[in-house]
Amino acid sequence: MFEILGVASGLRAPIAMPVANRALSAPLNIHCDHSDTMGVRDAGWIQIYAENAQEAYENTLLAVKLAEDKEVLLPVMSCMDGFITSHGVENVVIHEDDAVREFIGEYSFQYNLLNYKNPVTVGAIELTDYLFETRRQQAEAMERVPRVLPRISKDLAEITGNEFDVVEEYYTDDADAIVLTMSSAAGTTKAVVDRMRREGKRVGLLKLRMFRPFPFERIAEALQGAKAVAVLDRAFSFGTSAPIFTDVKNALYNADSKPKLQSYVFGIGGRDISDEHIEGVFKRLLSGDVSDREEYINLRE
Amino acid sequence: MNYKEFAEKEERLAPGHGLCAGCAAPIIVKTVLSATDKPVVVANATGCLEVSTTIYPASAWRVPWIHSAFENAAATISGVEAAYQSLKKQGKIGEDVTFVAFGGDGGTYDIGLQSLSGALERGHDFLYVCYDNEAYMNTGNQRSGSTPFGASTTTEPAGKVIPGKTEFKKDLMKIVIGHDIPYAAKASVGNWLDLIKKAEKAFQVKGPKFLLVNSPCTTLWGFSNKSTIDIAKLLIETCAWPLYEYENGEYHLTYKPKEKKPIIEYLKTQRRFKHLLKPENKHVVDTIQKHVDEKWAEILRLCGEEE
Repeated sequence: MFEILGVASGLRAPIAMPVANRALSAPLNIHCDHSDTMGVRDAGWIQIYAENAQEAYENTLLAVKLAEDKEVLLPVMSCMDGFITSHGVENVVIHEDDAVREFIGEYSFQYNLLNYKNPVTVGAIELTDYLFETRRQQAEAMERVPRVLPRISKDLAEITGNEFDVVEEYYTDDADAIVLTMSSAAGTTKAVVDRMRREGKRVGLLKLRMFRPFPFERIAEALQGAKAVAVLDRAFSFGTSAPIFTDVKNALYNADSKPKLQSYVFGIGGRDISDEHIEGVFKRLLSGDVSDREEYINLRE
Repeated sequence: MNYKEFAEKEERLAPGHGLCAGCAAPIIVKTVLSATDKPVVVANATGCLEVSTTIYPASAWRVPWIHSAFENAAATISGVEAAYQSLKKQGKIGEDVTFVAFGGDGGTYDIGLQSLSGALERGHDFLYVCYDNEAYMNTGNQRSGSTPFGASTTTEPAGKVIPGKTEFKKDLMKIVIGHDIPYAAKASVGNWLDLIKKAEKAFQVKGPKFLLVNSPCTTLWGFSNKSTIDIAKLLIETCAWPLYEYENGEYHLTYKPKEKKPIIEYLKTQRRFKHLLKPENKHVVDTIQKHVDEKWAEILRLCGEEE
């Protein structure tokens, strides 16, 4: 499918594609990790991630509007954790069809393949003299996403009551130790933060909701003041650092104060991550025990 | 349609494209698309036709046209047709629109076979046309599932060890007909009237239709670019490219050569078979002739014709 993802973004096809994140073969494994969407992070798609079923539902509505916005016209992956969220049983508030239909509206084509009176050629071949400019236009469309997003998010929030933001800051303001992660692990982390806060520990969660385009400035801002930050990736990036960790480190390069950073990879092939594991991460951060190595959670070594 | 009517039609593929002089593909496209007056939307697999007609910012297509990838022309036209059906049901589009996909043999026999099978099975209302030039010619003559026995390609070059391709051409018509579609036909640029009749017929049928059209490649089969039609005609006369159609479960032969020519007459016209003229390769020619005879007998039997 890799090739076709590039076709979709290159043709500026406004596709909203729900993704239940699963491990890649081989060996075959059908359980959750983020190897699939992380492996296609350069395919020119917007990527948003859901913590739970409610977010998966609302993110997908947002994805349609975002993909179809005239300023954007890029395909969007609306990601949720395979099995954990995609097959999880939990309560979801379903919004009124009419309100949702009105929010989505009707897509008006700029170029219509069925308009034979004004025939268009879609998917031409571009050689050395044009492809570079086409790619630059895709990059610019990606850059416009943060500008367009608040408007769409606000409209959706009128129905859902939940405003979509590229990150969710959970007790990060005064936190000494912050865990940065995505998807269902963020839910587990919130429970741990609640418990440790009751014990007086200054811990917080920075939940990443949009991975592409990556919200560099928002992340750098949110991490200011923290002493130590652990980035929990649910994917390897063989031969380099884990994907989110790499981008977070990049986000902090020009920041005024730089917290210590620890990279963890967890949950590969659906491996459990429990509240005890996350509490262990926070305790190490609070004790200043941060390494330069990529470390692994709940792995037999 | 007769020649005069054909000549008066506006060509839906404009001249000035970059296909080789003597290439059969644009002749096939113009002929097939002239066989309907309805608006047409075209999908194209990756291949010679696609890259030579749409080098940005120019396009030779006077009809709406889409290319997605090598392997999915049939899936692409399925999507376009499904969108059309939906818009029609919603009352947002009134006209009858026709859908055609073009693919070479690489994009049809091999890389696009799965997508073609899916589209035929789902019953989309479209015509798939395979212009069959019997190897990956766009990338310089690598063997495909359609390359005939004994042809020299860059991936099975004729030499001391092997005399060109050591496998027979895949019988794509059998695979397509195995989907029980309403209309499938084998045609050739060597018989223009037969090709246009089959295209006209296909456009009148609802559901998936398939045309397999012989498309001689002057550059990589190795013959003079003025001989394209002659080469195609010769192949028909050897009975190695039988012209027939499959319509609602029945086979009909649409042309029967008066005198079946030996296959060597055809083989000796092209560079890709040059090595077969050597005495030590006579057994290869014999093998090819035997195969032609068997397949021809099979078609005659299916069409209820006398040998």
